[in-house]
Amino acid sequence: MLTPAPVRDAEPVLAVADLRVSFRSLEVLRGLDLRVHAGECLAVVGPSGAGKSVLARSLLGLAGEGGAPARVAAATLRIAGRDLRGARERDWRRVRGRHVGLVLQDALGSLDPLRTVHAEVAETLHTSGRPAARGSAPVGERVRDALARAGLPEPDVVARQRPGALSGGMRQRALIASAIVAEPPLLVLDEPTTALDATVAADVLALLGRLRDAGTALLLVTHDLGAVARIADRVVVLADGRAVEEGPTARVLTEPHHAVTRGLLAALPRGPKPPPAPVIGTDVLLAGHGLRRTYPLPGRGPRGARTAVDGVAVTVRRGEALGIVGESGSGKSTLTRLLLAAERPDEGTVELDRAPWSDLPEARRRARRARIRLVPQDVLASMDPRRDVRRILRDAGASNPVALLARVHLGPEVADRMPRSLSGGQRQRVAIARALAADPELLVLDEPVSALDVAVQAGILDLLREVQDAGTALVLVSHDLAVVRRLCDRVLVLSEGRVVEEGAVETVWAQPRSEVTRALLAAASPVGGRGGR
Amino acid sequence: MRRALRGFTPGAWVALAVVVVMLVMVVAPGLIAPGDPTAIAPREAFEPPSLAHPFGTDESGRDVWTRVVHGAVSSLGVGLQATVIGVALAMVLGFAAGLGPRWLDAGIARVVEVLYALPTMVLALLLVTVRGPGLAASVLAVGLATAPGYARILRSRVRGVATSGYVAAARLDGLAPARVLTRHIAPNALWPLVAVLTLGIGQAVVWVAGLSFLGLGALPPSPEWGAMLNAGRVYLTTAWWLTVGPGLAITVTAAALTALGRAFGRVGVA
Repeated sequence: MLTPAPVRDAEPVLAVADLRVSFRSLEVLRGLDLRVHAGECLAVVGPSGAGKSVLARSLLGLAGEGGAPARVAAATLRIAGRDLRGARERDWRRVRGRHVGLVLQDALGSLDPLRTVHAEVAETLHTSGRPAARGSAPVGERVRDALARAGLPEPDVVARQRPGALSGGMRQRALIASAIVAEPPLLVLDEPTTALDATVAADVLALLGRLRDAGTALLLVTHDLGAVARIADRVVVLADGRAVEEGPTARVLTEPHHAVTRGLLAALPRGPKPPPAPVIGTDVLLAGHGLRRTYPLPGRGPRGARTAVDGVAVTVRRGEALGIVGESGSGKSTLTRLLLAAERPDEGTVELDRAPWSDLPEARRRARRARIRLVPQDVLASMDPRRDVRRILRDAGASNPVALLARVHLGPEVADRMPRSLSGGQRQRVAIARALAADPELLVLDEPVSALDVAVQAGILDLLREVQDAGTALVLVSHDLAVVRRLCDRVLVLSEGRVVEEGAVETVWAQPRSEVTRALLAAASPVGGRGGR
Repeated sequence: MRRALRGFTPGAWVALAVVVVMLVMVVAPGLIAPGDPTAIAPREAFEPPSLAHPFGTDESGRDVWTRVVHGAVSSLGVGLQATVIGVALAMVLGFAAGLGPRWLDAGIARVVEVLYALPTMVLALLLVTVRGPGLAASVLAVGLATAPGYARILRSRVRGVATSGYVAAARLDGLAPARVLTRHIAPNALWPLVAVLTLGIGQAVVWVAGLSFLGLGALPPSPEWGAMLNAGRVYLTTAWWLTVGPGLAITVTAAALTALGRAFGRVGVA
């Protein structure tokens, strides 16, 4: 490796001292000091509402964007040697892209669906218009180079595509390419891997590690401590707008000093399922035999079809928690839709309680739908925007919405709220309450905690454990293996529509037999123990 | 609704007040103008506006103000009826196209396009030829002419709502299709129509008045704004007030309804 040893005495790329950001009378950041050197990755972690995202936005002069006007004050605010205290919008415009790149969580929302990847990435070049770089290499070449550095195969092809044609991981890479195309010395990353599955996230982290080794300074804002353990050199723990702890990654993650840090680490799903072992019946509640489902590919004629689920057998016993894991595109979602009889399999059948389920006409299934309920991935979209929580729960068959809310540990005042006014964690609880309304025997959960931060996540996992202990079987679809291990009794690993491994969670953990499982386990970032690079 | 009204600007409140007054004119014109709109008083013909006759009197000595107020039934009332017919037709077409199979959707799209292609006036002439002039023909013509616009909006809304996450969730909760339709699809699809509808009534009033002005709608002795404009046109140089009264009524009504429709759209009734 030709990586030059980072010179830590040189001026840091990012130097911040006593940074304060307030919205009206509310002070969100209360005197923060940060330094990031070239070739270094500083992670900023903290519970929801600690001010992480405000920090990321403030470093690009975007603190007041799309909301209340923000007041930003600092003793020092220097990026790549430029004093940005009191910088105006036009000063910031010259800094963004050229000196600081920003990568956001929502890769689909951050890319214009109507423009090609080339146009999107090249835009940074046109707007930043580096005089030194101008004329050095044609735009097309630089875009291609950025796409290649972002780890996209066939950059020439990708450049001509639109975001809709790309997978989640590719979109995130395209977004990173647009942030690095002007070669800024500092990259601010706001939850860059949260929306990605384990293996894709691991790839993106590896890419970020390479960028860091090539000399880019990284500021990584995240609630994913696994990602922190993988690439961060130092960690700052933020709570309530202040840095409560700072230090080398390995030390902070293994010997946390502050209570907030300890809380974050404790909330992390880790280790096997806690005892006591749930009561699992011997009779099969839901069984799928030889399930197969193909989707026609547009424009490929009658022969072109993608097999999403290919000969899968599933059984769920009464009171059991079954995890379904796999990379994106492995058929997890299609399989859940088949189990719920939201879709009919091309081959095979699903039986509910030893009686036909998928073969019945919908009219005859309807009465039994109360026994198997779904908690969908996009919880907000699954709630009628014109109905409040009380009516949503009533619609689902609850006779006493307030008692149901108490069961998911929400207060009675939530009943009168509209779903969009609730926090992510509250919404998830309402979604679970709604699924429990009809007292189902089986709950199917599609990525129930992937969008939540660790503390909220831990609360939801505890709640789901309670639900299982009360006798309801769970089917948990997730890309987070730690979550599956914490909650499930048995696990099913899918790859390309087939079951590649199945068994008791701890057995699979200890002795994975399939390549895919091993890759997934390796990608699931361990925290503590072996931290650092 | 209460939340929507809180977002109203002063202008929107004025528009709302005007529309309420106009509705009173339709329902109980006697409350505002107690006189008889057809009572003739030849001695008082062509009197300019005064306290006794705010809009003056016409060639037969009839009070123009009274006639304008009583004319609201024929103009605004007919505009409302026409809109009801248009929306009713649009609901049938829109829901059928939005929820039905693809061939039905395509078929309805063609019908809607043909209706779109025919100008309102041509449609009205056609109906008048078949049925003879009168308000009934105006109502049908304007109703038919406005339906395709509403139908297109509804169809796309219904499609969007029907494929939404909450409708899928309701189905998986075991709700029967009819209940899904009445509880989730219909309210969410129809609600945005309120703003469009208010705008549409204003447009319908103008069309109804226009048809009467051309002699295709209300017939002369009955007080109708468009017909009054036409009758007053002859005396434009000697008795300007004959056209100003009804003209003002049409303009204010259409403007108020348009402003109200935009206010509904802005505060997000939709």
